Amino acid sequence: MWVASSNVVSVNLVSVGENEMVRLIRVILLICSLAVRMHAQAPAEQVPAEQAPKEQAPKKEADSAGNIPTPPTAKTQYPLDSFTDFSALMVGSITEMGEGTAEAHIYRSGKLMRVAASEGYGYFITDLSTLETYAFSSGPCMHDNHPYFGVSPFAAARPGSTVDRVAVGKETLDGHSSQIEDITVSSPKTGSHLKMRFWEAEDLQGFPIKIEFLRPGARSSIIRYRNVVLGPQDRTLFIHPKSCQSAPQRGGPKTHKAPAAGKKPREQ
Amino acid sequence: MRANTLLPVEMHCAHVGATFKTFDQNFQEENPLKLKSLAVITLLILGCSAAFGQSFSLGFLGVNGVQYCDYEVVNVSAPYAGGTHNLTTVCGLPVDGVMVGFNAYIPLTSGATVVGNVVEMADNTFDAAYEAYTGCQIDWVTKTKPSRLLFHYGWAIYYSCFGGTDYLLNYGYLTTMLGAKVQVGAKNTSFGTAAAAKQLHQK
Repeated sequence: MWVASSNVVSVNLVSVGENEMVRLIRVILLICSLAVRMHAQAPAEQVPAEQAPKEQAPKKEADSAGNIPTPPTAKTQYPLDSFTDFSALMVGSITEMGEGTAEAHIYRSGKLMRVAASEGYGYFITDLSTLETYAFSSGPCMHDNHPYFGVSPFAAARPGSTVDRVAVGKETLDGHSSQIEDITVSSPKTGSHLKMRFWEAEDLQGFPIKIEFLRPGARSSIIRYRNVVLGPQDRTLFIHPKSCQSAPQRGGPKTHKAPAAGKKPREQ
Repeated sequence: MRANTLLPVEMHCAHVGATFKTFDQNFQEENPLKLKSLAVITLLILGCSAAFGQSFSLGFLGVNGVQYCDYEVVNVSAPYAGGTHNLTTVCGLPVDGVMVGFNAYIPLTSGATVVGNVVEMADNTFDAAYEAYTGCQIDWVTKTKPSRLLFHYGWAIYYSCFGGTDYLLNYGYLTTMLGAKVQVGAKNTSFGTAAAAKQLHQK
């Protein structure tokens, strides 16, 4: 195509003046160069016409007959849904195989969960109903439309998912007499099955002081919850703005510089 | 693969150059015109090359400025991309992760941590770190250039285990420094501490 168009140009140029020829060459080359670049890169900051709709808060879904689902029974309710007010020290996470070592303080008040950042620079608040997260550090707040990983597995049971609970036995763990229960959370939408084993401390109203993520054919992840305190939490721990629009990332003044390697970020 | 992709492009560019050379001879251009044409053709060739192949190697800074020991080496053959999540050189893990994905655009209004033109890649770093099937998969979102502005983040990690809920794992800035070479002692990875993985390898 390039050769053909160039040959057409050379034939046509026989009949035009030299100056016009020069201009024509420049225009053609400029257009070609721009076209090739635009083919490879989308225009910066352009908002496509078909934007993905913002994730909406989960709603109670009726079945195909229009009936509202019956409330979950003790056998089908997700155990973690009943602990809406507590604080604890979480050791380990789903991303660490075996006994995890990472520690983080977690708090829950209703649908809001607060988790300390893994490197101690701030904290995250995830709304378990909308699954949105707000991050707080020395700078402006950051928003993301995903739950923070530290709230796992509290956000595991989504609307529409099913929960199977099977009692396995009893064990005394860290001085707590505990019921052991196998929990499977299944999502009909994705066909996924999250299998966990809970050690539910009887003196903590069944709060799981240990959760093991069961991975067929692989090593499990283990989260332990220590210093569990059940009851209402200080509401000021969960205050977050409705949005983080004031953050420079959302179009504010571009007067800040990113931190150099190994240095803490500072506002310039 | 990249060489194969670039070859037709280079041939096109060579054809264009050859055609204009003949054209110049036919019309007996003056020297300034030849120089200008040559310059424009050179720019065109450079444009062709840059548009179809891009490679970058970038390290990861946390929000608090900590340098993580892992880094990315990515080759973009638009719209596709592939690369290596380096876990061996500085982190000291046994094997590297593999990344594969494509160019993407995340709208400014999406509510995401990293927005705009990005490369989005699936990443088997969890499996690589533990040298085992973990059931967890990373969605790695990265810009292609080092971060310049505070709070304009350059990378973010999302993950899902067993196909359920996907979570935000970490995010931060991109830097040209590859790995935390200057740090002494325990080194952290962008996706979590490497200590647990190393403990497992030692058992």
